[in-house]
Amino acid sequence: MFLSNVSLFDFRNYAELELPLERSTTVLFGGNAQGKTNLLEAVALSALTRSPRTQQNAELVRFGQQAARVTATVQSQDGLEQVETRILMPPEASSGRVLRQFRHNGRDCGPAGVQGCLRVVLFWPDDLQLVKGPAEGRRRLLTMLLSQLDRVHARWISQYQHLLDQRNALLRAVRDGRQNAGQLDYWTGGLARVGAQIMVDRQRRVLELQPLAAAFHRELSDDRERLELRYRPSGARIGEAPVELVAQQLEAAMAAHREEEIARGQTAVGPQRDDLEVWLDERDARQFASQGQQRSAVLSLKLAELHYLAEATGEQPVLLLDDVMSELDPSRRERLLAALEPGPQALITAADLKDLPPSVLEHAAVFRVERGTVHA
Amino acid sequence: MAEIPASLARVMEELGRLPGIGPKTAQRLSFYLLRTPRDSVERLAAALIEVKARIRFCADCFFIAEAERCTICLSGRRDRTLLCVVEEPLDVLAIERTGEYHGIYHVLQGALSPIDGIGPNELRVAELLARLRREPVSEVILATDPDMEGEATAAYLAQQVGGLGMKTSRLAHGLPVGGELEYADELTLARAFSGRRLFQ
Repeated sequence: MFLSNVSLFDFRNYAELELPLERSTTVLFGGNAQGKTNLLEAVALSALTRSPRTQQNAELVRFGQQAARVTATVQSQDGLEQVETRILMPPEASSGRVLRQFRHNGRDCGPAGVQGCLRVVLFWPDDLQLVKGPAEGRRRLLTMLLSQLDRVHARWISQYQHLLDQRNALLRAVRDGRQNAGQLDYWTGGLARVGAQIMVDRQRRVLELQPLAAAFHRELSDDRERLELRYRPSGARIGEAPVELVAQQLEAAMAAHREEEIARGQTAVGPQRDDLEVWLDERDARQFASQGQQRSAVLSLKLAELHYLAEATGEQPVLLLDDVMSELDPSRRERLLAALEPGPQALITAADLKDLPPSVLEHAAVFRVERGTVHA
Repeated sequence: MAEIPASLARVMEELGRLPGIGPKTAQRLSFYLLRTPRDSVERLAAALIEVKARIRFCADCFFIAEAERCTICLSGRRDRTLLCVVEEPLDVLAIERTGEYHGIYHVLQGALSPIDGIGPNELRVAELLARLRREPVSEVILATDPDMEGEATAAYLAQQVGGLGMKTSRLAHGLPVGGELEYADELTLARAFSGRRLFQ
């Protein structure tokens, strides 16, 4: 698939932008805080229904404005599709929430109506912390990948978050003596069932992603190092267990932590606490990996994501590379560029064109990004 | 800048308090009312005052009523062994339109939602349990919404009712009649699968 047009209105620092894109590589260059990352964020938002960068939707609306709009036009196997995302600020002086609205080919729909129309793989400087950083980043990788492959999974994720908010509110109410602890079970049961679905999906996908990531890492390390992904579900042992059994385990784990959960006003186990560990030669990479090893592992993960999405859907996703070329040494850079050869459309940002090899610039459409405008 | 006269501002403010009506809509409705003939505005005002004076909630089931009890509770033709629990009065109207159900109702007036501070004490749960102890009900049908709050409420009620020795059932989840399988969303389809029945 490829993006044939991106149109923005009052999104971040863009007042208005109409950007037609070619199937080949697009390079966006310019100084810091000019809007390069914002543009990639808008594309990722169209694919994921949420910004990968912030949970505060209000940040997406240009300062002082009431609503932001992002429209992505996608050419895929299914034909030409248009995904529109609007972020609406609550009316002034009301305590309402920021709303998200979606349109698919001009018709109103829910988030599920646009999910899967556009699929992206995002690689940005935050990812360089993926191996040693907090587990949240690795969970986000799984959620971004799985939600784009499977609308049901995306629904499980949003249902889980909703149930988790309810249950955490109840835990705090019980702690403060406003509600009876007896009600907890009814939220725990639902939360465990949805959580188990997420965990079983994660386990299956990690097992499928694993050989791809291992193969890329073997190549990047000149056959010296063995990479392994280990999924660590929180509060359950998955293995081959069916969903019902995982749900029972989760429910039991929540029951076992009840006192602690009430005291902290927070659910102690579940997919919100999962981790995806990266192991190199039978050792946990969080403990010892050098910067070079981490970068190879991250690059292997990203290449695996790209190939997995392409294999699972029969179509290349759009690759978003935000300012990472300058972070990679020449050999890793070469490997990443080789992935562009078979053909995913790529949107690449760089502070300076010098950061990009001539082989990329030769075939790319190059634009300068300056204070919320884009010009050739 | 011209100021909005106080009487008009008050109408806007009051309309703006209604659910689903923002400041813009409140303005539009207010100006619409200004243009409307006096007698139709009076009819609207009278209707609002009358509905507030006459309609209350049924003392037994908390559906809307014009007397102490609603017409359903007062009817001699309802099956009093069947009791259907719903969240809102509108749910009763929806079920009544089907013409399929001839039992009685209990309106909870909401669903459990800890985020909004709503627990069993904020709903008509104690009244439901008292009714079930008092009345000859043999089956309780839990017809709360199929969303997360409705499911938690149904699970809670099933457990509370369980000790009273009557049958408890939950409305089926499944495919809409007249729909096409390929257009059903995945969750509905998944639920329809797990709730499938033997062909009779």
